[in-house]
Amino acid sequence: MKIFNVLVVGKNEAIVALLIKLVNKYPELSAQGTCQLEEIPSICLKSPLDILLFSSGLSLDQEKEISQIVAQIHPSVKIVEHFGGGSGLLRTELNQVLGIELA
Amino acid sequence: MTKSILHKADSRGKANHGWLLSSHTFSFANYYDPTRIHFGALRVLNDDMVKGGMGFGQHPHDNMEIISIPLEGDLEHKDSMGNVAVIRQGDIQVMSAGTGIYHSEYNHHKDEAVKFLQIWVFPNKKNVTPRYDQITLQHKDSLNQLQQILSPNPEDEGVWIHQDAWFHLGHFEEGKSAHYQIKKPGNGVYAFVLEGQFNIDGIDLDRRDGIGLWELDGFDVKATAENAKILLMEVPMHI
Repeated sequence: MKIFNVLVVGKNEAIVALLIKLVNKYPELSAQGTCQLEEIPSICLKSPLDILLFSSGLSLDQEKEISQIVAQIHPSVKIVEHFGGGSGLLRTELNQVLGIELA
Repeated sequence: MTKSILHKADSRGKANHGWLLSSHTFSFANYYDPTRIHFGALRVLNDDMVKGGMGFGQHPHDNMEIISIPLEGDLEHKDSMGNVAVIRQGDIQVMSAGTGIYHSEYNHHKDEAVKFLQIWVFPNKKNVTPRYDQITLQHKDSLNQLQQILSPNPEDEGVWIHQDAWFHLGHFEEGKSAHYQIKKPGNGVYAFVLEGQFNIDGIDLDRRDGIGLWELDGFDVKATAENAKILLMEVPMHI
């Protein structure tokens, strides 16, 4: 089974931690995350990445800059803009970007 | 020419967690239908029933305008901004989750169910400062007419949210009707029948049916049963 690697980025530590936990409940996904934007390049260099999931607190400019940094290292990365802060919309958002239905 | 999409009540996604029965008009949690993700900025329309003494423990939200409307019973709310409140039938509660908020929602009563609508609207601005508000609606203001219960304007009637959205509630006697005029050109309206039956734009609607209408200036709502109640949600069609 292909495992999709997810990086959760946001400014609210508690919500980022929850999203990592929720994403990791799906056997098809493996998540890590950070609220420290300067850590993103080193995380990307160390790990494969399929999905960049934006949580709350980032400006549009920050999201654009992060997307560019990540895409330079992982050109095929897919970007998910998460809304709602929890489990309600997460599965649909991931299903849509992956084109599969998560278990 | 007006466009429309009809969602019959029994076509909604169902979730039964024992303590919680929920009907999802749009994809939510484990219910996923790629053809039913949202209607414009309206992302979630959950029709929930929570058993006595039960509820949703503390959980976070961000970047969403969340509206709760109790239909039967009372709902107890606590949040990380220090708000503690009971939302009763006839009230409407709104939360702008913005940068992040934690809250819990419990049935206020031990021995009777609470039924309520949970509605999520995409905000027109991300990362706003979280806020909470609730008001009590006057029943007489919705009798045989459409009562505004939500708008984008803090000084306007009802609660307000960070979106160019307007909600109206109507409680009609059989045969009575009202006209709804679109507030902002380009917006669509999602009509949800709470009780009874209605005819909108020539389409008959039963209890808990929903219909989305767009590319229109206005439309008539006619009750075709006694004690008919309807919720109209005008939202931008582009997010």
